[in-house]
Amino acid sequence: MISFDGLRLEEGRPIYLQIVLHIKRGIVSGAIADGDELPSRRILSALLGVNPNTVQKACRALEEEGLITSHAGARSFAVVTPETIAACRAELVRGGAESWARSARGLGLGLDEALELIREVWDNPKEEEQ
Amino acid sequence: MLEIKDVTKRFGSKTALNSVSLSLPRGELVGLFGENGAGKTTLMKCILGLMGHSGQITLDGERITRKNIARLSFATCEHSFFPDLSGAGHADFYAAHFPAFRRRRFEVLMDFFSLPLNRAPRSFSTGQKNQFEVVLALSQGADYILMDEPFSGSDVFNREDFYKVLLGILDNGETVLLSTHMLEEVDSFISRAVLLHSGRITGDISMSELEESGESLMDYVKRAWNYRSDRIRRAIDELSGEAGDR
Amino acid sequence: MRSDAGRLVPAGLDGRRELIQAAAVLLTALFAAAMCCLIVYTNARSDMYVYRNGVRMLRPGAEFPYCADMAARSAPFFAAAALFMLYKLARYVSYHYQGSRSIYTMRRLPQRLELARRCLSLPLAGCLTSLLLFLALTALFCAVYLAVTPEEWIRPGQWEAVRRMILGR
Repeated sequence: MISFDGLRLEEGRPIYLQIVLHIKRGIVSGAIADGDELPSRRILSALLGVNPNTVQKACRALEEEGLITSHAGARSFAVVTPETIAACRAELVRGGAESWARSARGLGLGLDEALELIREVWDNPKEEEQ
Repeated sequence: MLEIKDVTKRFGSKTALNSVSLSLPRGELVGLFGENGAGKTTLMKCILGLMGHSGQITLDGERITRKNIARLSFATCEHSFFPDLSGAGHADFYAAHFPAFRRRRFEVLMDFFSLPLNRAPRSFSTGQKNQFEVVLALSQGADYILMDEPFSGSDVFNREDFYKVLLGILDNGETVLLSTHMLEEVDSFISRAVLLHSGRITGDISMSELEESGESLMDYVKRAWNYRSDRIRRAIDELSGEAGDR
Repeated sequence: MRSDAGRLVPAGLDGRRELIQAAAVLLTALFAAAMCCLIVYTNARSDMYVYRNGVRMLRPGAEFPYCADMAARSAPFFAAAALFMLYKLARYVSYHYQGSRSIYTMRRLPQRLELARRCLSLPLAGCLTSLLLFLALTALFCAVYLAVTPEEWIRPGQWEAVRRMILGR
């Protein structure tokens, strides 16, 4: 069963998107393998303290992207292939880069400064706070 | 479908509800928000037939009478349980009077909240009383569960437990109307927000609509109440103006 | 017995205890009333005599009171019992407003008469019983009166007196 323990919901972003991202992160990290089962809508909604409609929206979005598939009996399973892993990784990484670029530009950095900064931190990454 | 049409309720010269109209289809979790005295409690009591009113309230087209009143249940911060009747006694009472009483759900919830079956609620703490009140409302077997600030006095852990248990335990056909002050706590739990202000409905929006518009529930509520966010700055200006005069 | 009695009083109250309390009050009233009747009768009997020069003799022109009038003197005890029942009625109603508002639950039950039944049953039965006990005691007293009172003292019109007492005129 796919775990949602690590998902902390944040204010300010649509919850269904956060759920979708959680699944994508799981796929990329390998925590979610092909055929892993999702908790039922009801259980997921109770686990996260979130309205079932929101969970439904997330599941629909995931289905549309081909990341989960629903069988009869309202059970859903992850669909993970090398292609989907690559696509998710690309999307997550790109999304991260986009938001970083946005904030860097907002702070007044030019492209060359930004690239220099990246080169610096690439080699000396700080320990990520757990 | 619970239909509230043009309901007005006056207490002497004060109008508590002014031409309120609302439709509650099955399966929705609706948050009812409003300041103290907005009419939230009055509205619920009118629905339950606990007070007279003008206008019409119907359940699937029928007026609310003894024949269908069991389809509505009520949890209130004033508490409506029998203070000297044990938990088990309540189960027997409810089973005897409400044909759809869900005994299994009652037992599961009592166990989940660690509420004793053989003690009377008079000896419970406030948090436990709130829990017991909600357990009864959820176990009655009603289709529409009206909750009037059921968590007032409960600590935050209590409240979080509530929301999650509610979400886990409700059927698709069960509807909840929950009035509360705690906007931010329930904004992910509800599917629809209804705002009441001085007896009138000033807002009624589904949470997915709100999400699409990008506005937070708090901002929507403030907007609907014409909350003047600059009033604090103005008050401070006025006060420091006074101080400057001395 | 316990569960049945429990359905006649507000939920949460001990039906058996309420029943016993009501019975105790009624029995106390009955006992006090009976004593009252006894005292009234014996006083009435001795009132028929006077002492003249150390000798007991019938008071001239003395009339022995009607049995109904004597029995009526015990009415206050039964009235007190009935008042107690009314007090219980008030308590049962106010019970639904204390500690919580269980009145909300009672007023939204599918059974329309449940609240009335739980508040009224015992008090109403108690008042009725009080009245019946009064009438029964009166009947018993009058029977004894007729048996032990000297014939010549028993005035005619005893029945009319009884009717007067009951109807008030």
